[in-house]
Amino acid sequence: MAKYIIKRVLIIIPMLLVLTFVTYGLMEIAPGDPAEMKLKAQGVIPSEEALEKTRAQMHLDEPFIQRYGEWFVSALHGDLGTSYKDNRAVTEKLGIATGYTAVLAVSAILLALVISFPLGIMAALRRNGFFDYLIRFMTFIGNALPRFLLAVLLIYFFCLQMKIFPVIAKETVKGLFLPALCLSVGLICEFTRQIRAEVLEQIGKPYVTGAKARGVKAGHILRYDILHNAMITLLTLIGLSFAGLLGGSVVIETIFQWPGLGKLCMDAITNRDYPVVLGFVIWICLIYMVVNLITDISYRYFDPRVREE
Amino acid sequence: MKQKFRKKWKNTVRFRFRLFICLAILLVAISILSPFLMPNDPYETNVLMAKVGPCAQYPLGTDALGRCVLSRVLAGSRTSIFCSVLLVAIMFVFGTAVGLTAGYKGGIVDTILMRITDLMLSFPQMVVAIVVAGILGGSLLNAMIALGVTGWMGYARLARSRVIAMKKEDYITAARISGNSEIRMLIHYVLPNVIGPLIIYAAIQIGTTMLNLAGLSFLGLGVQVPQAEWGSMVNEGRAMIQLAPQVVFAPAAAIFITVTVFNLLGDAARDLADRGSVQEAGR
Repeated sequence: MAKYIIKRVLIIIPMLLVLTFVTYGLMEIAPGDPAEMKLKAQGVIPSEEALEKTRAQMHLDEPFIQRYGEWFVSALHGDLGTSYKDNRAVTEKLGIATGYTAVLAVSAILLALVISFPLGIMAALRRNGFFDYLIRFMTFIGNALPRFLLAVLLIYFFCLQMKIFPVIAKETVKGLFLPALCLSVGLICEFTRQIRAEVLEQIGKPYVTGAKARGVKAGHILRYDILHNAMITLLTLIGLSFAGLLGGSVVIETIFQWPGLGKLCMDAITNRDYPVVLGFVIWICLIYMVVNLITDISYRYFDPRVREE
Repeated sequence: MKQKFRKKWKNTVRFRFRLFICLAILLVAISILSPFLMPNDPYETNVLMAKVGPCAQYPLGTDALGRCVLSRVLAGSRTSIFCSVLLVAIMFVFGTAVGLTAGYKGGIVDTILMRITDLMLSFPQMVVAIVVAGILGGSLLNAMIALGVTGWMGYARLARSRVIAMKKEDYITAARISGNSEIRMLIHYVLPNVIGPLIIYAAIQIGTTMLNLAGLSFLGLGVQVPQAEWGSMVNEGRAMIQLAPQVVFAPAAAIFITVTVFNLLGDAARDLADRGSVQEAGR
Protein backbone atom coordinates (compact mmCIF):
# COMPACT_ATOMS: atom_id res chain seq x y z
CA MET A 1 0.00 0.00 0.00
CA ALA A 2 2.70 2.50 1.01
CA LYS A 3 4.72 1.56 -2.05
CA TYR A 4 1.67 2.12 -4.22
CA ILE A 5 1.04 5.57 -2.76
CA ILE A 6 4.67 6.64 -3.14
CA LYS A 7 4.68 5.47 -6.75
CA ARG A 8 1.50 7.39 -7.49
CA VAL A 9 2.78 10.55 -5.81
CA LEU A 10 6.11 10.43 -7.62
CA ILE A 11 4.46 10.04 -11.02
CA ILE A 12 2.69 13.37 -10.52
CA ILE A 13 5.97 15.30 -11.01
CA PRO A 14 6.76 14.13 -14.57
CA MET A 15 3.10 14.60 -15.46
CA LEU A 16 3.13 18.19 -14.29
CA LEU A 17 6.38 18.65 -16.18
CA VAL A 18 4.75 17.54 -19.44
CA LEU A 19 1.62 19.58 -18.80
CA THR A 20 3.39 22.81 -17.94
CA PHE A 21 5.87 22.36 -20.78
CA VAL A 22 3.05 22.07 -23.28
CA THR A 23 1.18 25.03 -21.77
CA TYR A 24 4.34 27.13 -21.69
CA GLY A 25 5.07 26.15 -25.28
CA LEU A 26 1.55 27.09 -26.36
CA MET A 27 1.97 30.50 -24.78
CA GLU A 28 5.22 30.89 -26.64
CA ILE A 29 3.61 30.22 -30.03
CA ALA A 30 0.46 32.17 -29.24
CA PRO A 31 0.38 35.52 -31.03
CA GLY A 32 1.41 38.62 -29.11
CA ASP A 33 4.39 39.92 -27.20
CA PRO A 34 4.25 39.07 -23.46
CA ALA A 35 6.01 42.31 -22.54
CA GLU A 36 3.38 44.30 -24.40
CA MET A 37 0.62 42.28 -22.75
CA LYS A 38 2.12 42.86 -19.35
CA LEU A 39 2.21 46.60 -19.88
CA LYS A 40 -1.28 46.65 -21.33
CA ALA A 41 -2.61 44.57 -18.45
CA GLN A 42 -1.22 47.18 -16.07
CA GLY A 43 -2.87 49.95 -18.04
CA VAL A 44 0.38 51.43 -19.38
CA ILE A 45 0.58 52.50 -23.01
CA PRO A 46 3.54 50.48 -24.30
CA SER A 47 6.26 52.78 -25.60
CA GLU A 48 9.32 51.31 -27.31
CA GLU A 49 11.48 52.23 -24.32
CA ALA A 50 9.18 50.68 -21.74
CA LEU A 51 8.87 47.56 -23.88
CA GLU A 52 12.66 47.12 -24.01
CA LYS A 53 12.89 47.50 -20.27
CA THR A 54 10.07 45.05 -19.56
CA ARG A 55 11.47 42.52 -22.01
CA ALA A 56 14.78 42.60 -20.17
CA GLN A 57 13.02 42.33 -16.81
CA MET A 58 11.07 39.30 -18.00
CA HIS A 59 14.22 37.66 -19.46
CA LEU A 60 12.47 37.42 -22.81
CA ASP A 61 15.84 37.57 -24.58
CA GLU A 62 16.82 34.22 -23.09
CA PRO A 63 16.02 31.03 -25.02
CA PHE A 64 12.68 29.34 -24.43
CA ILE A 65 14.02 26.22 -22.75
CA GLN A 66 16.06 28.22 -20.28
CA ARG A 67 13.12 30.38 -19.29
CA TYR A 68 10.89 27.35 -18.93
CA GLY A 69 13.51 25.56 -16.84
CA GLU A 70 13.87 28.54 -14.52
CA TRP A 71 10.11 28.82 -14.22
CA PHE A 72 9.71 25.11 -13.41
CA VAL A 73 12.47 25.08 -10.80
CA SER A 74 10.98 28.06 -9.01
CA ALA A 75 7.51 26.49 -9.37
CA LEU A 76 8.82 23.40 -7.58
CA HIS A 77 9.92 25.74 -4.82
CA GLY A 78 6.38 27.08 -4.63
CA ASP A 79 7.01 30.32 -6.50
CA LEU A 80 4.74 30.69 -9.50
CA GLY A 81 5.79 34.21 -10.41
CA THR A 82 3.70 37.35 -10.28
CA SER A 83 0.57 38.38 -12.14
CA TYR A 84 1.02 40.68 -15.14
CA LYS A 85 -1.97 42.63 -14.04
CA ASP A 86 -1.26 43.72 -10.48
CA ASN A 87 2.17 42.20 -9.75
CA ARG A 88 0.77 40.17 -6.88
CA ALA A 89 2.14 36.67 -6.35
CA VAL A 90 0.24 34.05 -8.34
CA THR A 91 0.28 31.67 -5.38
CA GLU A 92 -1.45 34.28 -3.25
CA LYS A 93 -4.17 34.84 -5.85
CA LEU A 94 -4.64 31.10 -6.28
CA GLY A 95 -4.81 30.62 -2.53
CA ILE A 96 -7.62 33.12 -2.08
CA ALA A 97 -9.58 31.80 -5.07
CA THR A 98 -9.16 28.17 -4.00
CA GLY A 99 -11.07 28.86 -0.81
CA TYR A 100 -14.05 30.15 -2.76
CA THR A 101 -14.01 27.29 -5.25
CA ALA A 102 -13.68 24.76 -2.44
CA VAL A 103 -16.74 26.18 -0.69
CA LEU A 104 -18.67 26.07 -3.97
CA ALA A 105 -17.56 22.55 -4.91
CA VAL A 106 -18.16 21.08 -1.47
CA SER A 107 -21.63 22.59 -1.23
CA ALA A 108 -22.41 21.29 -4.71
CA ILE A 109 -21.33 17.78 -3.76
CA LEU A 110 -23.20 17.89 -0.45
CA LEU A 111 -26.33 19.21 -2.15
CA ALA A 112 -26.05 16.46 -4.77
CA LEU A 113 -25.68 13.77 -2.11
CA VAL A 114 -28.57 15.05 -0.01
CA ILE A 115 -30.88 15.13 -3.03
CA SER A 116 -29.75 12.12 -5.02
CA PHE A 117 -29.59 9.58 -2.18
CA PRO A 118 -33.31 9.49 -1.38
CA LEU A 119 -34.24 9.88 -5.07
CA GLY A 120 -32.02 7.02 -6.19
CA ILE A 121 -33.19 4.68 -3.45
CA MET A 122 -36.84 5.48 -4.03
CA ALA A 123 -36.47 4.99 -7.76
CA ALA A 124 -34.82 1.61 -7.20
CA LEU A 125 -37.40 0.42 -4.68
CA ARG A 126 -40.29 1.38 -6.95
CA ARG A 127 -38.68 0.03 -10.04
CA ASN A 128 -40.64 0.70 -13.26
CA GLY A 129 -43.24 2.58 -11.27
CA PHE A 130 -44.38 6.11 -12.02
CA PHE A 131 -41.84 7.65 -9.67
CA ASP A 132 -39.01 5.68 -11.25
CA TYR A 133 -39.94 6.88 -14.72
CA LEU A 134 -40.28 10.43 -13.51
CA ILE A 135 -36.82 10.40 -11.97
CA ARG A 136 -35.28 8.77 -15.03
CA PHE A 137 -36.93 11.39 -17.19
CA MET A 138 -35.63 14.21 -15.00
CA THR A 139 -32.09 12.85 -14.92
CA PHE A 140 -32.20 12.56 -18.68
CA ILE A 141 -33.19 16.19 -19.05
CA GLY A 142 -30.53 17.21 -16.60
CA ASN A 143 -27.91 15.51 -18.76
CA ALA A 144 -29.00 17.33 -21.91
CA LEU A 145 -29.01 20.79 -20.34
CA PRO A 146 -25.67 22.54 -20.46
CA ARG A 147 -24.64 24.18 -17.20
CA PHE A 148 -24.40 27.66 -18.64
CA LEU A 149 -27.93 27.39 -19.94
CA LEU A 150 -29.21 26.17 -16.62
CA ALA A 151 -27.47 29.06 -14.90
CA VAL A 152 -29.01 31.60 -17.27
CA LEU A 153 -32.46 30.05 -16.86
CA LEU A 154 -32.17 29.93 -13.06
CA ILE A 155 -31.09 33.56 -12.99
CA TYR A 156 -34.01 34.44 -15.22
CA PHE A 157 -36.62 32.71 -13.10
CA PHE A 158 -35.31 33.06 -9.57
CA CYS A 159 -33.51 36.40 -9.73
CA LEU A 160 -35.40 38.38 -12.33
CA GLN A 161 -38.92 36.97 -12.28
CA MET A 162 -39.30 35.99 -8.63
CA LYS A 163 -36.51 38.13 -7.19
CA ILE A 164 -35.61 35.55 -4.54
CA PHE A 165 -31.87 35.48 -5.09
CA PRO A 166 -29.29 38.11 -6.03
CA VAL A 167 -28.04 37.99 -9.64
CA ILE A 168 -24.42 38.37 -8.68
CA ALA A 169 -23.50 35.83 -6.04
CA LYS A 170 -22.49 37.76 -2.96
CA GLU A 171 -20.37 35.80 -0.56
CA THR A 172 -23.32 34.71 1.55
CA VAL A 173 -25.26 31.50 1.91
CA LYS A 174 -28.04 32.98 -0.18
CA GLY A 175 -25.60 34.01 -2.87
CA LEU A 176 -23.96 30.59 -2.80
CA PHE A 177 -27.18 28.68 -3.32
CA LEU A 178 -27.79 29.23 -7.03
CA PRO A 179 -24.21 28.61 -8.23
CA ALA A 180 -24.01 25.51 -6.05
CA LEU A 181 -27.34 24.29 -7.40
CA CYS A 182 -26.22 24.83 -11.01
CA LEU A 183 -23.01 23.00 -10.39
CA SER A 184 -24.77 20.14 -8.63
CA VAL A 185 -27.52 19.42 -11.16
CA GLY A 186 -25.19 17.35 -13.32
CA LEU A 187 -23.97 15.53 -10.24
CA ILE A 188 -27.51 14.93 -8.99
CA CYS A 189 -28.45 13.25 -12.28
CA GLU A 190 -25.33 11.15 -12.34
CA PHE A 191 -25.50 10.14 -8.66
CA THR A 192 -29.22 9.35 -8.77
CA ARG A 193 -28.77 7.07 -11.74
CA GLN A 194 -25.80 5.33 -10.19
CA ILE A 195 -27.40 4.91 -6.78
CA ARG A 196 -30.50 3.50 -8.43
CA ALA A 197 -28.43 1.04 -10.47
CA GLU A 198 -26.30 0.09 -7.48
CA VAL A 199 -29.25 -0.51 -5.15
CA LEU A 200 -30.99 -2.56 -7.86
CA GLU A 201 -27.89 -4.65 -8.35
CA GLN A 202 -27.44 -5.23 -4.62
CA ILE A 203 -31.11 -6.12 -4.11
CA GLY A 204 -30.76 -8.96 -6.59
CA LYS A 205 -27.82 -10.51 -4.76
CA PRO A 206 -28.17 -13.73 -2.77
CA TYR A 207 -27.18 -12.14 0.55
CA VAL A 208 -30.30 -10.01 0.45
CA THR A 209 -32.47 -13.05 -0.15
CA GLY A 210 -30.61 -14.80 2.66
CA ALA A 211 -31.15 -11.92 5.06
CA LYS A 212 -34.81 -11.72 4.10
CA ALA A 213 -35.21 -15.46 4.66
CA ARG A 214 -33.76 -15.06 8.14
CA GLY A 215 -36.43 -12.47 8.84
CA VAL A 216 -34.26 -9.33 8.82
CA LYS A 217 -36.41 -6.27 8.25
CA ALA A 218 -36.21 -4.69 4.79
CA GLY A 219 -35.25 -1.29 6.23
CA HIS A 220 -32.41 -2.85 8.17
CA ILE A 221 -31.05 -4.63 5.08
CA LEU A 222 -31.25 -1.41 3.13
CA ARG A 223 -29.52 0.68 5.76
CA TYR A 224 -26.78 -1.62 6.88
CA ASP A 225 -26.07 -3.92 3.96
CA ILE A 226 -27.15 -2.41 0.67
CA LEU A 227 -26.14 1.16 1.38
CA HIS A 228 -22.88 0.06 2.94
CA ASN A 229 -21.98 -1.74 -0.26
CA ALA A 230 -23.21 1.14 -2.38
CA MET A 231 -20.88 3.52 -0.55
CA ILE A 232 -17.86 2.25 -2.47
CA THR A 233 -19.42 3.08 -5.80
CA LEU A 234 -20.43 6.45 -4.50
CA LEU A 235 -16.93 7.30 -3.32
CA THR A 236 -15.56 6.54 -6.76
CA LEU A 237 -18.32 8.62 -8.27
CA ILE A 238 -17.49 11.65 -6.15
CA GLY A 239 -13.88 11.31 -7.21
CA LEU A 240 -14.74 10.90 -10.86
CA SER A 241 -17.19 13.78 -10.85
CA PHE A 242 -14.41 16.11 -9.79
CA ALA A 243 -13.18 16.70 -13.33
CA GLY A 244 -16.59 17.84 -14.46
CA LEU A 245 -16.93 19.93 -11.32
CA LEU A 246 -13.68 21.78 -12.01
CA GLY A 247 -14.66 22.39 -15.64
CA GLY A 248 -18.16 23.41 -14.67
CA SER A 249 -16.91 25.80 -12.03
CA VAL A 250 -15.18 27.89 -14.71
CA VAL A 251 -18.52 28.47 -16.42
CA ILE A 252 -20.61 28.88 -13.30
CA GLU A 253 -18.17 31.19 -11.52
CA THR A 254 -17.93 33.38 -14.60
CA ILE A 255 -21.70 33.72 -14.83
CA PHE A 256 -22.33 34.33 -11.14
CA GLN A 257 -19.15 36.38 -10.64
CA TRP A 258 -18.05 34.04 -7.86
CA PRO A 259 -14.41 34.94 -7.13
CA GLY A 260 -13.08 31.37 -7.34
CA LEU A 261 -10.45 29.63 -9.44
CA GLY A 262 -12.64 29.42 -12.52
CA LYS A 263 -13.26 33.14 -12.65
CA LEU A 264 -9.59 33.81 -11.95
CA CYS A 265 -8.72 31.60 -14.91
CA MET A 266 -11.20 33.25 -17.27
CA ASP A 267 -10.07 36.73 -16.23
CA ALA A 268 -6.46 35.71 -16.73
CA ILE A 269 -7.25 34.27 -20.17
CA THR A 270 -9.07 37.43 -21.23
CA ASN A 271 -6.20 39.61 -20.00
CA ARG A 272 -3.60 37.19 -21.37
CA ASP A 273 -2.16 37.10 -17.85
CA TYR A 274 0.05 34.10 -18.58
CA PRO A 275 1.66 33.51 -15.17
CA VAL A 276 -1.80 33.22 -13.63
CA VAL A 277 -3.01 30.86 -16.39
CA LEU A 278 0.05 28.67 -15.89
CA GLY A 279 -0.41 28.73 -12.15
CA PHE A 280 -4.06 27.81 -12.58
CA VAL A 281 -3.23 24.86 -14.83
CA ILE A 282 -0.59 23.45 -12.53
CA TRP A 283 -2.73 23.96 -9.43
CA ILE A 284 -5.99 22.58 -10.82
CA CYS A 285 -4.29 19.51 -12.27
CA LEU A 286 -2.49 18.93 -8.99
CA ILE A 287 -5.81 19.09 -7.14
CA TYR A 288 -7.38 16.76 -9.67
CA MET A 289 -4.58 14.21 -9.44
CA VAL A 290 -4.56 14.28 -5.64
CA VAL A 291 -8.33 13.77 -5.56
CA ASN A 292 -7.97 10.85 -7.96
CA LEU A 293 -5.25 9.38 -5.81
CA ILE A 294 -7.35 9.72 -2.66
CA THR A 295 -10.28 8.09 -4.46
CA ASP A 296 -8.14 5.16 -5.53
CA ILE A 297 -6.70 4.76 -2.06
CA SER A 298 -10.09 4.90 -0.36
CA TYR A 299 -11.36 2.41 -2.92
CA ARG A 300 -8.62 0.01 -1.89
CA TYR A 301 -9.31 0.74 1.74
CA PHE A 302 -13.03 0.03 1.56
CA ASP A 303 -12.89 -2.92 -0.81
CA PRO A 304 -10.24 -5.43 0.26
CA ARG A 305 -10.66 -7.33 -3.02
CA VAL A 306 -8.98 -4.51 -4.96
CA ARG A 307 -5.98 -4.61 -2.62
CA GLU A 308 -5.18 -8.17 -3.65
CA GLU A 309 -4.55 -7.30 -7.29
CA MET B 1 -44.71 -16.18 -24.37
CA LYS B 2 -41.22 -15.27 -23.31
CA GLN B 3 -40.06 -15.58 -26.90
CA LYS B 4 -42.85 -13.32 -28.04
CA PHE B 5 -42.07 -10.73 -25.37
CA ARG B 6 -38.42 -10.69 -26.31
CA LYS B 7 -39.29 -10.25 -29.95
CA LYS B 8 -41.60 -7.41 -29.18
CA TRP B 9 -39.00 -5.73 -26.98
CA LYS B 10 -36.43 -6.01 -29.68
CA ASN B 11 -38.82 -4.39 -32.07
CA THR B 12 -39.45 -1.44 -29.80
CA VAL B 13 -35.71 -0.91 -29.35
CA ARG B 14 -35.25 -1.13 -33.08
CA PHE B 15 -38.14 1.29 -33.56
CA ARG B 16 -36.57 3.71 -31.10
CA PHE B 17 -33.26 3.48 -32.90
CA ARG B 18 -34.87 4.12 -36.30
CA LEU B 19 -36.91 7.01 -34.96
CA PHE B 20 -33.93 8.77 -33.44
CA ILE B 21 -31.63 8.12 -36.35
CA CYS B 22 -34.28 9.71 -38.59
CA LEU B 23 -34.50 12.70 -36.26
CA ALA B 24 -30.73 12.98 -36.11
CA ILE B 25 -30.45 12.83 -39.89
CA LEU B 26 -33.16 15.47 -40.08
CA LEU B 27 -31.17 17.74 -37.76
CA VAL B 28 -27.97 17.23 -39.72
CA ALA B 29 -29.92 17.91 -42.92
CA ILE B 30 -31.27 21.13 -41.44
CA SER B 31 -27.78 22.18 -40.46
CA ILE B 32 -26.47 21.53 -43.97
CA LEU B 33 -29.46 23.05 -45.76
CA SER B 34 -29.79 25.96 -43.31
CA PRO B 35 -28.88 28.68 -45.86
CA PHE B 36 -31.99 27.75 -47.84
CA LEU B 37 -34.31 27.64 -44.84
CA MET B 38 -33.52 31.02 -43.32
CA PRO B 39 -36.29 33.60 -43.66
CA ASN B 40 -33.81 36.51 -43.32
CA ASP B 41 -30.10 37.15 -43.53
CA PRO B 42 -28.75 36.14 -40.08
CA TYR B 43 -26.10 38.88 -40.15
CA GLU B 44 -28.23 41.73 -41.43
CA THR B 45 -28.92 44.24 -38.68
CA ASN B 46 -32.06 46.32 -38.50
CA VAL B 47 -31.87 48.74 -35.60
CA LEU B 48 -35.41 49.96 -36.12
CA MET B 49 -36.70 46.46 -35.48
CA ALA B 50 -34.41 45.60 -32.55
CA LYS B 51 -35.69 43.38 -29.74
CA VAL B 52 -39.16 42.90 -31.22
CA GLY B 53 -41.19 39.81 -30.40
CA PRO B 54 -42.31 37.20 -32.92
CA CYS B 55 -43.98 38.74 -35.97
CA ALA B 56 -44.60 37.89 -39.63
CA GLN B 57 -41.23 39.07 -40.86
CA TYR B 58 -39.26 37.67 -37.92
CA PRO B 59 -40.93 34.40 -36.81
CA LEU B 60 -38.93 34.28 -33.55
CA GLY B 61 -38.34 37.99 -33.08
CA THR B 62 -35.05 39.86 -33.26
CA ASP B 63 -32.03 40.42 -31.03
CA ALA B 64 -30.42 43.63 -29.74
CA LEU B 65 -29.10 44.54 -33.18
CA GLY B 66 -32.31 43.64 -34.96
CA ARG B 67 -31.03 40.40 -36.43
CA CYS B 68 -33.56 37.63 -37.08
CA VAL B 69 -33.33 35.11 -34.23
CA LEU B 70 -34.75 32.19 -36.24
CA SER B 71 -32.24 32.76 -39.03
CA ARG B 72 -29.42 32.96 -36.51
CA VAL B 73 -30.52 29.75 -34.81
CA LEU B 74 -30.58 28.04 -38.22
CA ALA B 75 -27.20 29.51 -39.14
CA GLY B 76 -25.90 28.38 -35.76
CA SER B 77 -27.05 24.83 -36.43
CA ARG B 78 -24.34 24.55 -39.03
CA THR B 79 -21.66 25.46 -36.50
CA SER B 80 -23.15 23.55 -33.60
CA ILE B 81 -24.38 20.32 -35.17
CA PHE B 82 -22.08 19.96 -38.13
CA CYS B 83 -18.90 20.88 -36.23
CA SER B 84 -19.75 18.58 -33.31
CA VAL B 85 -20.40 15.62 -35.58
CA LEU B 86 -17.24 16.38 -37.53
CA LEU B 87 -15.21 16.70 -34.35
CA VAL B 88 -16.52 13.39 -33.01
CA ALA B 89 -15.69 11.77 -36.35
CA ILE B 90 -12.11 13.07 -36.20
CA MET B 91 -11.64 11.97 -32.59
CA PHE B 92 -13.17 8.61 -33.47
CA VAL B 93 -10.77 8.00 -36.37
CA PHE B 94 -7.71 9.21 -34.50
CA GLY B 95 -8.49 7.45 -31.22
CA THR B 96 -9.38 4.21 -32.98
CA ALA B 97 -6.18 4.32 -35.02
CA VAL B 98 -4.12 4.76 -31.86
CA GLY B 99 -5.99 2.03 -30.03
CA LEU B 100 -5.80 -0.42 -32.94
CA THR B 101 -2.08 0.12 -33.39
CA ALA B 102 -1.38 -0.19 -29.69
CA GLY B 103 -3.48 -3.29 -29.20
CA TYR B 104 -2.38 -5.02 -32.40
CA LYS B 105 1.34 -4.27 -32.25
CA GLY B 106 1.72 -4.73 -28.50
CA GLY B 107 5.14 -4.44 -26.90
CA ILE B 108 6.93 -1.13 -26.81
CA VAL B 109 4.51 0.60 -29.21
CA ASP B 110 1.63 -0.36 -26.96
CA THR B 111 3.42 0.88 -23.86
CA ILE B 112 4.32 4.26 -25.37
CA LEU B 113 0.88 4.91 -26.90
CA MET B 114 -0.99 3.86 -23.79
CA ARG B 115 1.27 5.90 -21.50
CA ILE B 116 0.43 8.96 -23.58
CA THR B 117 -3.27 8.07 -23.45
CA ASP B 118 -3.19 7.62 -19.68
CA LEU B 119 -1.27 10.86 -19.31
CA MET B 120 -3.93 12.73 -21.26
CA LEU B 121 -6.67 11.04 -19.26
CA SER B 122 -5.23 12.17 -15.97
CA PHE B 123 -5.95 15.84 -16.69
CA PRO B 124 -9.43 17.29 -16.27
CA GLN B 125 -10.65 17.52 -19.87
CA MET B 126 -12.82 20.61 -19.88
CA VAL B 127 -10.36 22.69 -17.84
CA VAL B 128 -7.48 21.84 -20.16
CA ALA B 129 -9.69 22.53 -23.18
CA ILE B 130 -10.63 25.94 -21.76
CA VAL B 131 -7.00 26.83 -21.14
CA VAL B 132 -5.78 25.56 -24.53
CA ALA B 133 -8.57 27.37 -26.39
CA GLY B 134 -7.94 30.45 -24.28
CA ILE B 135 -4.22 30.57 -25.01
CA LEU B 136 -4.64 29.82 -28.72
CA GLY B 137 -7.21 32.59 -28.87
CA GLY B 138 -10.94 32.29 -29.41
CA SER B 139 -11.95 30.82 -32.73
CA LEU B 140 -14.08 27.88 -33.78
CA LEU B 141 -11.08 25.97 -35.11
CA ASN B 142 -9.09 26.51 -31.89
CA ALA B 143 -12.04 25.40 -29.76
CA MET B 144 -12.33 22.24 -31.86
CA ILE B 145 -8.59 21.61 -31.57
CA ALA B 146 -8.77 22.07 -27.80
CA LEU B 147 -11.69 19.65 -27.44
CA GLY B 148 -10.22 17.18 -29.93
CA VAL B 149 -6.83 17.02 -28.26
CA THR B 150 -8.45 16.34 -24.89
CA GLY B 151 -11.17 13.96 -26.09
CA TRP B 152 -9.78 11.11 -28.20
CA MET B 153 -8.54 8.88 -25.38
CA GLY B 154 -11.78 7.01 -24.76
CA TYR B 155 -11.77 5.63 -28.30
CA ALA B 156 -8.15 4.54 -28.00
CA ARG B 157 -8.74 2.67 -24.73
CA LEU B 158 -11.88 1.00 -26.02
CA ALA B 159 -10.35 -0.02 -29.36
CA ARG B 160 -7.23 -1.37 -27.67
CA SER B 161 -9.14 -3.51 -25.18
CA ARG B 162 -11.29 -4.94 -27.97
CA VAL B 163 -8.29 -5.73 -30.17
CA ILE B 164 -6.44 -7.44 -27.35
CA ALA B 165 -9.50 -9.54 -26.56
CA MET B 166 -9.92 -10.73 -30.16
CA LYS B 167 -6.26 -11.06 -31.12
CA LYS B 168 -6.20 -14.60 -29.76
CA GLU B 169 -9.14 -15.73 -31.91
CA ASP B 170 -8.43 -18.48 -34.41
CA TYR B 171 -9.57 -16.58 -37.46
CA ILE B 172 -6.96 -13.92 -36.86
CA THR B 173 -4.24 -16.54 -36.77
CA ALA B 174 -5.74 -18.13 -39.88
CA ALA B 175 -5.77 -14.78 -41.68
CA ARG B 176 -2.17 -14.18 -40.71
CA ILE B 177 -1.06 -17.63 -41.89
CA SER B 178 -2.77 -16.92 -45.21
CA GLY B 179 -0.12 -14.25 -45.75
CA ASN B 180 -2.07 -11.01 -45.32
CA SER B 181 -0.04 -7.86 -44.84
CA GLU B 182 -0.22 -6.03 -41.53
CA ILE B 183 -2.26 -3.13 -42.89
CA ARG B 184 -4.63 -5.51 -44.67
CA MET B 185 -5.02 -7.55 -41.51
CA LEU B 186 -5.89 -4.45 -39.51
CA ILE B 187 -8.39 -3.08 -41.99
CA HIS B 188 -10.03 -6.28 -43.22
CA TYR B 189 -10.06 -8.51 -40.17
CA VAL B 190 -9.46 -6.54 -37.00
CA LEU B 191 -11.32 -3.28 -37.63
CA PRO B 192 -14.73 -4.74 -38.63
CA ASN B 193 -14.77 -6.75 -35.42
CA VAL B 194 -13.93 -3.93 -33.05
CA ILE B 195 -15.84 -1.07 -34.64
CA GLY B 196 -19.32 -1.81 -33.22
CA PRO B 197 -18.84 -0.62 -29.62
CA LEU B 198 -16.72 2.27 -30.89
CA ILE B 199 -19.54 3.57 -33.06
CA ILE B 200 -21.90 3.36 -30.10
CA TYR B 201 -19.42 5.21 -27.91
CA ALA B 202 -19.10 7.87 -30.60
CA ALA B 203 -22.88 8.21 -30.84
CA ILE B 204 -23.08 8.74 -27.09
CA GLN B 205 -20.26 11.29 -27.24
CA ILE B 206 -21.93 13.54 -29.84
CA GLY B 207 -24.25 15.11 -27.27
CA THR B 208 -21.43 15.73 -24.79
CA THR B 209 -19.23 17.21 -27.50
CA MET B 210 -22.01 19.58 -28.49
CA LEU B 211 -22.41 20.71 -24.90
CA ASN B 212 -18.67 21.27 -24.53
CA LEU B 213 -18.40 23.19 -27.79
CA ALA B 214 -21.37 25.34 -26.85
CA GLY B 215 -19.81 25.87 -23.42
CA LEU B 216 -16.55 27.10 -24.93
CA SER B 217 -18.46 29.43 -27.25
CA PHE B 218 -20.48 30.68 -24.32
CA LEU B 219 -17.24 31.60 -22.54
CA GLY B 220 -16.15 33.46 -25.66
CA LEU B 221 -13.50 30.88 -26.52
CA GLY B 222 -15.33 29.38 -29.47
CA VAL B 223 -16.80 31.23 -32.42
CA GLN B 224 -16.29 34.96 -32.57
CA VAL B 225 -18.98 37.58 -33.05
CA PRO B 226 -20.89 38.04 -35.26
CA GLN B 227 -20.77 34.38 -36.34
CA ALA B 228 -23.87 32.57 -35.15
CA GLU B 229 -23.47 29.72 -32.67
CA TRP B 230 -25.96 28.62 -30.05
CA GLY B 231 -23.66 28.89 -27.04
CA SER B 232 -22.47 32.36 -27.95
CA MET B 233 -26.02 33.42 -28.79
CA VAL B 234 -27.11 32.54 -25.26
CA ASN B 235 -24.19 34.56 -23.95
CA GLU B 236 -25.00 37.56 -26.13
CA GLY B 237 -28.66 37.39 -25.21
CA ARG B 238 -28.40 36.92 -21.47
CA ALA B 239 -27.73 40.60 -20.76
CA MET B 240 -31.15 41.53 -22.10
CA ILE B 241 -33.07 38.42 -21.16
CA GLN B 242 -35.81 40.57 -19.61
CA LEU B 243 -36.36 42.73 -22.69
CA ALA B 244 -36.03 40.04 -25.32
CA PRO B 245 -36.23 36.55 -23.79
CA GLN B 246 -36.48 34.95 -27.25
CA VAL B 247 -32.83 35.77 -27.91
CA VAL B 248 -31.85 33.35 -25.14
CA PHE B 249 -34.70 30.88 -25.29
CA ALA B 250 -34.55 30.10 -29.02
CA PRO B 251 -30.90 28.93 -29.08
CA ALA B 252 -31.43 27.33 -25.65
CA ALA B 253 -34.28 25.23 -26.99
CA ALA B 254 -32.20 24.37 -30.05
CA ILE B 255 -29.30 23.13 -27.90
CA PHE B 256 -31.62 21.18 -25.66
CA ILE B 257 -33.55 19.48 -28.45
CA THR B 258 -30.45 18.61 -30.44
CA VAL B 259 -28.52 17.22 -27.50
CA THR B 260 -31.57 15.25 -26.37
CA VAL B 261 -32.03 13.68 -29.81
CA PHE B 262 -28.37 12.70 -30.06
CA ASN B 263 -28.30 11.38 -26.48
CA LEU B 264 -31.40 9.28 -27.12
CA LEU B 265 -29.86 8.04 -30.36
CA GLY B 266 -26.75 6.97 -28.46
CA ASP B 267 -28.85 5.19 -25.83
CA ALA B 268 -30.95 3.46 -28.48
CA ALA B 269 -27.83 2.33 -30.36
CA ARG B 270 -26.40 0.91 -27.15
CA ASP B 271 -29.63 -0.87 -26.26
CA LEU B 272 -29.91 -2.29 -29.75
CA ALA B 273 -26.38 -3.65 -29.56
CA ASP B 274 -27.02 -5.09 -26.08
CA ARG B 275 -30.14 -6.82 -27.33
CA GLY B 276 -28.17 -8.22 -30.23
CA SER B 277 -25.51 -9.66 -27.98
CA VAL B 278 -28.13 -11.09 -25.63
CA GLN B 279 -29.76 -12.87 -28.55
CA GLU B 280 -26.47 -14.12 -29.85
CA ALA B 281 -25.55 -15.44 -26.44
CA GLY B 282 -28.96 -17.10 -26.12
CA ARG B 283 -28.64 -19.03 -29.33
